[in-house]
Amino acid sequence: MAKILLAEDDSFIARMITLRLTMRDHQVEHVENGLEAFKEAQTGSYDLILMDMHMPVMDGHEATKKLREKGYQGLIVAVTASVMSADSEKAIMSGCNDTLTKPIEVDFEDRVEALITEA
Amino acid sequence: MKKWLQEFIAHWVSWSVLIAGLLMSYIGFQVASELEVRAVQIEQNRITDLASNALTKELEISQGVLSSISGLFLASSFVSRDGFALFTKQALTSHTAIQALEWVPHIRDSDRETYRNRAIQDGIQDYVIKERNPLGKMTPATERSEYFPVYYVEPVISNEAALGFDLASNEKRQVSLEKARQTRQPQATASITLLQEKEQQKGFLIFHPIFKLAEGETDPQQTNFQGFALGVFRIGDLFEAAIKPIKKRLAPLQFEITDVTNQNQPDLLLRQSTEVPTEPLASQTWRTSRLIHFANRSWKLSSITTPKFIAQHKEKNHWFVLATGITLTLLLTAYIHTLTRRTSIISQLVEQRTQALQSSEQLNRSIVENAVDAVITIDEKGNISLFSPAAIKMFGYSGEEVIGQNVMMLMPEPYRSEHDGYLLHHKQTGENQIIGSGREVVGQHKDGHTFPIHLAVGEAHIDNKILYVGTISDLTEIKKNEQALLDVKNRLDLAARSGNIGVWDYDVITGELVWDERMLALYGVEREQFPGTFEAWLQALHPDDSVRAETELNEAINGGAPFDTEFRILWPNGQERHLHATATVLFDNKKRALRMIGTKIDITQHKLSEKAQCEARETAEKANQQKSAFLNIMSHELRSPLTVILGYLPVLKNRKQAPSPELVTQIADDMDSSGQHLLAMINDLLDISKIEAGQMELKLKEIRIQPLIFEVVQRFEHQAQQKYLHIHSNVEDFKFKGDELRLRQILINLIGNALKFTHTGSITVSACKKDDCITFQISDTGIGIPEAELPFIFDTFRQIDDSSTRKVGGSGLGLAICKKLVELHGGSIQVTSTHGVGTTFTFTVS
Repeated sequence: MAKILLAEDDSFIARMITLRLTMRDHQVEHVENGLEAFKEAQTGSYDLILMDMHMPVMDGHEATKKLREKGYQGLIVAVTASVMSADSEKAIMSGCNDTLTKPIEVDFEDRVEALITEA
Repeated sequence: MKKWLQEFIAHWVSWSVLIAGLLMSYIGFQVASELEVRAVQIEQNRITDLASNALTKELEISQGVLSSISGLFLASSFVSRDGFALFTKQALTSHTAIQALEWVPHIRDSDRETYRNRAIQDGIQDYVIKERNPLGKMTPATERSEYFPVYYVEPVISNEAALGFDLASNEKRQVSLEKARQTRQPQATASITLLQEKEQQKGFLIFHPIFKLAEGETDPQQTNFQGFALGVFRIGDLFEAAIKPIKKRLAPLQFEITDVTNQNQPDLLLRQSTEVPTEPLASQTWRTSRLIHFANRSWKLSSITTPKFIAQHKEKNHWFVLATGITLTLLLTAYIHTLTRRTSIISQLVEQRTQALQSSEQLNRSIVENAVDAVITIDEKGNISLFSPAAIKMFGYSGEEVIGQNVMMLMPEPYRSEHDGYLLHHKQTGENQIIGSGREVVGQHKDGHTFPIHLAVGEAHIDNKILYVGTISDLTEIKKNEQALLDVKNRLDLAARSGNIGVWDYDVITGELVWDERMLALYGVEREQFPGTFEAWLQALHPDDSVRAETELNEAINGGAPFDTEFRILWPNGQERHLHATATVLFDNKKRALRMIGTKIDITQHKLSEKAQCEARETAEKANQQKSAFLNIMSHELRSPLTVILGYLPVLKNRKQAPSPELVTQIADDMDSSGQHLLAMINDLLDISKIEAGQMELKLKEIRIQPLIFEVVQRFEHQAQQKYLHIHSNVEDFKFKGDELRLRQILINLIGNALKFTHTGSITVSACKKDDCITFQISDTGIGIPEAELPFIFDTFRQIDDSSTRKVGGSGLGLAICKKLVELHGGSIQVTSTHGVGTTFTFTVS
């Protein structure tokens, strides 16, 4: 069981991902934008942050950059649209450890768990 | 050389005068010198005589003193030492020339002791008769038959050394002593060095022999030789004493005294410069001498001139004579030379003038003969007196054919008939038509053809007769060229006209601006509207271009840059035209601009099409950008609901961990919403595509507006109540023709938006009809739209915030669709909004 922070502005998607990860007994905290993610990541100790890149107020890139600048060492995985490979590269540049694509795959939970284990 | 010789001969008078003058000057110089030298010599002789007399006198006095001593001894039987001293004292005091006076007795060897004893008795303790040994030392005299020692000497002081010295022991003294004894005459010695000498002076002695008659004896031959009265002299002191009274007059001659008793061995006794002893003898010196005889000796006194003496006594007039002579000679020569030269110059000048006159005449003739223009002279009656070769060539007549004939023959009518009258008129009134100037007339060739000429006539008065000189140039070629030039100008004109090129000419100095007709057309003005000034051009310039165009023009005038530019102008009617202008600046030789001549063409059409092309390109680029932006956004927007739907499927399909029935319901609701959202978006996309492709067709029919609005408001009632909002509607009841489905779509969109962005307050929907125009208005009290975003709010793919639409639902295409639908109905849509206060959409349909 892992503690996961999900930053996602689309409430439907957030609910879906939360459900899928909860069904694997993971504890999921949901925030709606990058700024909240930035604050929450520093207060709670998360095994993983799933970061949507396109969000209002503060997007995923900026939130990741700021966390890394603050010295945040934890695992951050970007959730990006698969068609935009440039977006994935940009996420890695911003400081994300890895990327997962939307729409999420059938084995999404397995891959999340693998990333946590590897880290 | 030859020339030099000629010159010399030509100037022989000058040369002779010069040579003769210089010769005479030299002779005069020589004579003057000679006279001056003689004057000096006379003066020298006079002074030398003085000196010689003085010396002779001194010697005579000295001999007189010795003579008186001799008298003393002759008169006395015995003269004591004291008596001698007393007697000589006076003489020694008054005659400083005498060094000492002595008594030298003749002593036989038998009396030697007696005399010695007597001397010792007189107080001379160590008196001995002495002589000098070969080593020069004083020793007692060797024994001989007789002695002549110095026995008495006065003054004693400074002469002690002489006491006792036997004068016969010294050769020079002995010779004189013997001679005096033999001749019984006073005898002087040759020069000797005195025993008592402390300086370098030479001295001499005078022996005065004393013979005494024995008592009672009368025969003068029977006398006894007693000894000598002796005078001791230093020559320098003697001479000094001799010349003392006249010393000033001797200066500054140099004197020498030489003993010439023995002619073969002259002995220099003294050399004395009376004034400046160290002064070297000048190269030019004169010497004169006098012989002095005394005491059986002969002396020569010589005087030698010194430069100072010559300077004192010799005049310098001979130089003056020379200088004056040379100066006068030169002046005279110069005067004669000038006279000679002037004569020669005048004759040369005459020759030159004659030559110049000849060549001038030749020149005049050759000018007339070689002039390209024809030269013809006529007398006052019009008869030809000169007909130049060019005239022969021009008119075809030979000289013989025209000389003496009237000039009319060279003119066609009407000039021919008018000529006499003209000539007469000129003579009577003095009025000029051609004379003094020139003009174009027509000439006639011998063969009868006429040709244009330029005739210039000058008037000359020679020997009271009038002569008219006509200069004629053939203008045939020039006229031809002029015509050719005119043709070219016309062609250029035509080209400018057909190319619609305006030509302008700006006088930089006066500010005057000249435009041709086409320039006026280019500026859309009439001739009378254009004042012809630089300011007029400035005023016509487009305000945005005037500063630049004027700057460029000034740069061209200052020589900085060529004038080749484009600018806009405004016609009086406000029309904007683009012109392209080029110009050439004409400068004077100081690089100051004088004129500017240029052309202008209208390039408005060219500019407009250029602008249109540019705009089209920009629009296309913008459309492309918008299209790719649209694709980006839509892919994201469509993907989000799909993500939800696809993401739930594995949960539903999972048999091992089936979700609870409640969870399934929730999943189904989410999937439903997502599906609906996806569908709405696809519909919107289809609509916009249809509209943009022009495939949207309105199905027009009669619509009652009140029920339509009520129905739409009804739709949102539930949603509004949940947000505690109220929807007011203020709608008149009327009918109009439109597409009900699309109108409903517009209303749903706008009211839906208002509801989404309003959290407190209310929403008001109103519709009214005025004439044929129906105005709808949807106002809310929502968050409003930022002012910067308002202009773009109806753009197809514009969204305030990428994600904000998703948060509130909708595709982001709604307003764009509304605008297009309104426009399809022949109306328009506007928005006003204050951020944080509310937004109002107003649209009309007709």
